Amino acid sequence: MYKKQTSIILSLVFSLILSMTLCAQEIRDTARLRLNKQIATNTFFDKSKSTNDRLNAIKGMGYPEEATFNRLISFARDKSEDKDIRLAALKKHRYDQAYFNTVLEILADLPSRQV
Amino acid sequence: MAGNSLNKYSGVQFFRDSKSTGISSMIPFMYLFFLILLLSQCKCNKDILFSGWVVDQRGQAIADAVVRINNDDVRTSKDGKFKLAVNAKEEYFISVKHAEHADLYRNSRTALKDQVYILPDASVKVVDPAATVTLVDERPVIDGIIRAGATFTLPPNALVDENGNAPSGTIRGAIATLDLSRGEGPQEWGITDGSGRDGFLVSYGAVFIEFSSMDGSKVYQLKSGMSGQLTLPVTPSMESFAPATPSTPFWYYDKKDGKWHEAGSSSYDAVSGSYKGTVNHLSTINTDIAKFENAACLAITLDPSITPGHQLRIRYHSGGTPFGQVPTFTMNDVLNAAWRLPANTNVLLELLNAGGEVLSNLVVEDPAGTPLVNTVVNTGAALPSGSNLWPPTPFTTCKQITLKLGAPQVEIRINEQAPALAIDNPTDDYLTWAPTYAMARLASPGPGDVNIVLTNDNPNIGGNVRFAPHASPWPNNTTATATSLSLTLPASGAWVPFMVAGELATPSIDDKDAIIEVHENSAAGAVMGRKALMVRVRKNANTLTLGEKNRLLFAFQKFRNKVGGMNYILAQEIHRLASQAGDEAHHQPAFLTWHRFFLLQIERELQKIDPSVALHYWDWDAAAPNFFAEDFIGAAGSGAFTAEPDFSLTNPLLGWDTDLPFSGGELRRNTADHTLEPGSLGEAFMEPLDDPVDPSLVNFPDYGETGEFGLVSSFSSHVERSSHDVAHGWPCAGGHMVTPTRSAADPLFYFLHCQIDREWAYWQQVHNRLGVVSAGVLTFPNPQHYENAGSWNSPSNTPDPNYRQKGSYLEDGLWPWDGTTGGAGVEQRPPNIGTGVGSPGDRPNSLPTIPATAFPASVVPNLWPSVATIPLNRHCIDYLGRFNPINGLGFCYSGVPY
Repeated sequence: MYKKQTSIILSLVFSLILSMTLCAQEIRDTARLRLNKQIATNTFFDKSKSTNDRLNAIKGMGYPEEATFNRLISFARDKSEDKDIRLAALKKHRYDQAYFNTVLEILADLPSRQV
Repeated sequence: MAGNSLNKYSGVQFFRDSKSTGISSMIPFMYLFFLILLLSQCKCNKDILFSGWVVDQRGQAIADAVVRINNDDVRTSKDGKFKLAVNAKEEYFISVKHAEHADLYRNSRTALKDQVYILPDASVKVVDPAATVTLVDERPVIDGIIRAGATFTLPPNALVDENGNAPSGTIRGAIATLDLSRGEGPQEWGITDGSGRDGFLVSYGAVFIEFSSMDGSKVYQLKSGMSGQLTLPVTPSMESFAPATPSTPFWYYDKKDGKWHEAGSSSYDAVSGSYKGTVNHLSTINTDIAKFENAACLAITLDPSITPGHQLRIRYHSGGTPFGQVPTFTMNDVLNAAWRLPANTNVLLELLNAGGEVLSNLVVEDPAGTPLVNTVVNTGAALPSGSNLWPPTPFTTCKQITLKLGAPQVEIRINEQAPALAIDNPTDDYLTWAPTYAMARLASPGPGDVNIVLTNDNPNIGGNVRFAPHASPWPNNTTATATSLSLTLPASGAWVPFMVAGELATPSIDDKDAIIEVHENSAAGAVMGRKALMVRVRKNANTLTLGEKNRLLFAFQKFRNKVGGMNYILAQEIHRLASQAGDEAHHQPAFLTWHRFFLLQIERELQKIDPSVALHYWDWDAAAPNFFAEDFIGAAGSGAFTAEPDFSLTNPLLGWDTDLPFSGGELRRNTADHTLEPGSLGEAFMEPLDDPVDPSLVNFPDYGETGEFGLVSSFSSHVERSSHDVAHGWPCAGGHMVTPTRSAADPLFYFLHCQIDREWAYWQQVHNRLGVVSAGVLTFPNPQHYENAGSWNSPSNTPDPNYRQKGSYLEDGLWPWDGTTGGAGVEQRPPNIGTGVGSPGDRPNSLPTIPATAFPASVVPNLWPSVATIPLNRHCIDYLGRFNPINGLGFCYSGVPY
């Protein structure tokens, strides 16, 4: 009788440990992914990094937060930025009114022979 | 005979006396008048009573069908039933006629009682007989295999009525390719040669063609010397035999003598799998080989275990002479016969109950009482040449067999509540996660009640179902969850109701691969019956099996090639127009609802072509390399910024013609690599549905607004602008998909919008916004009814032409199903509503007119709408029918539970 109860208790404990382990693993994975996303986002907006590093980072940015969308627009409008960075920022942005306004703004700024 | 003599004599007397005058001269006339009246009322000879039930292929009653037996006729009542007493004759020629269906003919020597007559649907259209007329059968499913229907072309002015007069104005043309394997078409196959010798036909295929006046009162025939061109597909069971028969006559059935007569000639076309040729007489037409030798017959005796009234079906099995027709008849007596069968040929016998389902416990015995393996019988020796091939009762010259039933069997119906339909509707055996009504009974009444247990088949292959005891009314928000169910079936054969639903983890992968097993007494008991059905679910397109992919692509191809009625081009046009003037379907609150209705209508059209298909979704939160592949939606084309996608040579989408004046109708898509995970490209991509790291659509708790004024923080706004809009241009726009005026030309459109609808369904599930009102909150933001509220719900509460479009309110009817057009401001609706119907000839210079028809009624009972209805936004919110089980929409998504 005691043996049976012990087996049941051991099984329950084992299941609990396993599920906690899996849950903790998932939390760790999510935290790691968030960290990677943050690093990639910071890298892209870091003017001290090389253009290549910044362009490579954009693939790790995932779907942007609202604040990130605002920064992408700012960078796309920033004439002091590298043109590849400006283009990458624009391509990363969703197609909303801010996007189209920025595109029109850039087009208006172009010398006529480049339009 | 004495009466006749007296009558004749009196007539002579009358004419003799008519030379005199006065009242006395009228007496013989009055005597004659009353005698004639008396005789005309006399039914003393009309003592042969026929009765029956006329239904369509889905088991629905056909009212007002004309049943004619020899020279008497009657119309069916509202419930499709009729009774007709006729004079006793040696032979009875029965015809059943209805304007929307192919005629049905039967010959009999005895009265037929309580028969079920199933009329095949016909493709009917209005035609001008003064011009060339082409009829194309729009029933693409023949024999359960997707193939072309028959085509008939008639030269101008080729028709006359029975008096030789040409029709004036437009008339109706009807065509139906008959599925011989299901017993469609006449059941009598007799012919007579010039010397009166009796023979029979071996059929390769059949079609019904008829031209009639608009009111149906006149039937037109080909003028003498005129003929039409017929392309008649070979019935699938004969496809392997047709190449050996390169030419064969066409024959037409004459209901006056119940026999077939030659009506032209045809040649086999291996490419189309059809016989093509000319026809000089209209009716039910066959392409057949005539036989005057080697005919046999079967004399069939019923054991007491089988009551008369069961149907017997006879199929070609092996050896001897192959034939395409499947004689199917109700055995009206203990002794029955089947005649005009090829001799020395193995045939398969199937016993059907009143619902048209095959009883698996049939036993066929030879005269020695020996059971025949698998109910296959050899037809035996030929009758003497020149003898009557329809032998007289008691059929002593025929091969003798006896039919009996083994252990009692159980019959199950899905999506039905008592009283049952006359036949089991084969198109309603489809489930989602939502519960639906079902019922079971003993197929043959037995000596006592029987306890049964319903389970899934074991081992399971394909879909699984869950059960629940019946309750009326069915409780809200509840589905069937039990893995088995015990029922007691009464000995009387009465139906016992229960509930059934698809099992979330186990949808079907093939048509009717979910098997309910009926066990006697316990789940381990003997199997007393099986019911095959399908758990039909919208799935991730990237994970489909080859069969699932191909069935859907073929259905799209057939829908694209369909002529007239709702077809792909008309659907494409509806979306194009919807996105123009008065666009309630985009950047308005009805974006999700309008597209849910639109997808549902298209899905149901595809299911008319193949009931086993569902729309599936492009899940862009992960890479979809199996979806963007040459054997599915197409791989990226090469070369320019946009190009035709690459399709494999066997893909039905190969050469897809958009019928739009854009690159010659060729399908165009951008040439970027679509097989990658969208988020991995470093470019704009669709906002995820539910991601642990990224901002996600599911994080917006409010349905909220989606207006013309840009993105706002609500689910509907983000799902449209951040998900849908981006997807149409992903990854860098170009091609048909990028603009709503032509996006629906690309089949990819339907997978994209299915994903959008799935995102809504998922959001509904997570936020418990499943009913029109959930937890006291409306799930749709605008409760007012546009037409009635007088309130525009704009910030100033006054009409604002830039604000919400008509159709944006919960109780609003949606275009085009409400039939409106024109108007201005927020009341503006797209143009081009009318009574016209699109056809290829209309394009591209004259695009099809959108027919002013409401959303069509569901062919499956217990689903919205039961009758054609103008859809309101509220109708599609509770898509699973959680709060009204008979008003679900009949679809669900893998991964989005009940």
